[in-house]
Amino acid sequence: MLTFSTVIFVILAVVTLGAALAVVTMKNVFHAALMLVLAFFGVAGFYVLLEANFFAAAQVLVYIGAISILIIFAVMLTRGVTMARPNNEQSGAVATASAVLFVLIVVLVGPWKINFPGFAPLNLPARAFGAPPEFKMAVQAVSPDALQRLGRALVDQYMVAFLLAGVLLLLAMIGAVWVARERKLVEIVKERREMAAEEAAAAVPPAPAAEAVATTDAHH
Amino acid sequence: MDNILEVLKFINNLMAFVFDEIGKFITGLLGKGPGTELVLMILAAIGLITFGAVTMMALTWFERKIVARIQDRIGPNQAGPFGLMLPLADGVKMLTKEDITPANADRWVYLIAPIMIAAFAMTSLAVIPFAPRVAGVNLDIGAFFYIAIGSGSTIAILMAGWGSNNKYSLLGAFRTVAQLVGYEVPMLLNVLPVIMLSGSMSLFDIIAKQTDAPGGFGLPFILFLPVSALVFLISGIAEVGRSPFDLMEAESEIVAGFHVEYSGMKFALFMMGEYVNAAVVSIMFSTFFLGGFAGPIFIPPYVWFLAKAFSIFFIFMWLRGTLPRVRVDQLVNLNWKFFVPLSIINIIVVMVMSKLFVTFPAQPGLFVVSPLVYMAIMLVSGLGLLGLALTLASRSARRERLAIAQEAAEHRVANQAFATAQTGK
Repeated sequence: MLTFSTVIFVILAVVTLGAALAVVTMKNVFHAALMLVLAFFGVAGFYVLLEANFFAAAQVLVYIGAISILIIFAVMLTRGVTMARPNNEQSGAVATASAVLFVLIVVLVGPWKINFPGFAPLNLPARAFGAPPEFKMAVQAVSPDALQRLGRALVDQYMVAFLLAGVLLLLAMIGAVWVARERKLVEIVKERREMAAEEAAAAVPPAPAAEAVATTDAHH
Repeated sequence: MDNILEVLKFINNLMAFVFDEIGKFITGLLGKGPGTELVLMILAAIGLITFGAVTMMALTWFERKIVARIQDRIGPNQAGPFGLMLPLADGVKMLTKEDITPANADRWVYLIAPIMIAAFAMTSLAVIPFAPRVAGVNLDIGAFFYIAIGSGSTIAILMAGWGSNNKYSLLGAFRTVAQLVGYEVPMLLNVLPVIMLSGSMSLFDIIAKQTDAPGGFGLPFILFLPVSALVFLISGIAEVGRSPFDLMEAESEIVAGFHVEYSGMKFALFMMGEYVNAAVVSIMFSTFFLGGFAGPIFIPPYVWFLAKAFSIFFIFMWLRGTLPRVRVDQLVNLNWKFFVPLSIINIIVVMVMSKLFVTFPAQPGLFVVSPLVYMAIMLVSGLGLLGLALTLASRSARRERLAIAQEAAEHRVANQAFATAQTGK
């Protein structure tokens, strides 16, 4: 049956999947990052379709407003972005792994009954969620106080996880401040020299090349 | 007397009444169903976009007039009475200008950026409460929706800056990231106390909490949360990139920043995005802290709405007309070293105060007080916090200045000693 929400779902699915595909196939990394933004938007659209407004707004705020900006900024600060030819050597393995994961998710979460000969019928969703054997996709209206219940659950039932996430973010912030701390130029130069010395010690240069360098040095 | 009250009530509910009648008319025309709802939604969207465009036109005229007065000029006075036709003349001018796309631009990115920026600005109009029962949509997360959509325009500005393939544009885009991403944080942190006091993220509930409605305080939140109001206003100006925080366009430094390569209607879309965003920030400020459309009955709510929003926008123009642009380091320091810590401490203070004192016996709290006393306590604690923060900031700034002066003095002494040694020889 073709309902209005089905049409919207199909459009969103096509946009999201198309954008996600473009992320991995596009040559220009900046365009790929923008396509990632589009894919994030598609996911936000799915949340709206599921009447999870809060998650849709959080998706926009966190993924589009922060994470994708971080990615785009990193891309912009990388030299030769548009000319580079990103080439993933392991694309085959990644594609296979994604396909296997996708099939697994569909099999495990989808409303099927799987019959292996000699085994009892496997119906994971029914078991996992205690649903009746005939798994029905029932569309339930979202209760009006869903947001309040979510908030309560975060400080009640899932408080430990919530606090741990906060601690994790705090640690990340402290780490970022530490990495970006102001340092004296002398320290940086010293560190660079040490690194260069280590590299020189690690790599054994072929003798003629070293001689050539030495002669040019002497020349100057 | 009753008749007068009735008339007043009718005038007050005029806006909701008109929209109800339009809805009924179209439902009668098309019959009930999802298709009709879709048509109504599209009509509402068109209405909101029209509101946005008209607001932009009105504000450009208003701003030119006010800024001109501040600078002791007359301002637009040629097109129509008081130059009122100027926005229309501007529109015609924009339409007839040559539409340029730089040869080396990233074509699609360059083309989509202005559309995106205007679209994001228009989207945030959807949750604005114009009058009782009148809004694009009454979301239960209205305040959060506004913040989320506001963060999207950063991407559009980045796209414009990158897609133009121009050094100045790129500089503008880089500044944008430092500014917009940064000032989102204090904005969000200062909407939080409002949500804590009102117990809801719906903009209508936030307004209702500031009225005499059951459960309401009857006082605007600016009296409860002075720190939040101040920081929200300033970071709001920074968030929409208006003077004195207009670093991303900064005509005198990087020409016009991210939109230097845009002309004609594309440029107009950028302007539209900027003005609509500024209007939305002023409307949101009046909703969060001034009680939005609520007010005494003898002035209709939509008039209150416009009056409050325009007063806040007037402050924006006032600042633009009088203050010089801040430096990049000042901008970033103000945000991360002053606003963010202050906002977090403010949240803690509000949290403690709202648990210590409550206005209704049913709520969990130590002392039950009247809303007026509650307001006084919150106001005093907020102003105290603000005074403390300003004292600390001015002390540290003073220490910094003294250190710089001392260093300069030492240099001078050393130079003089060197010079004497030279001449002595």
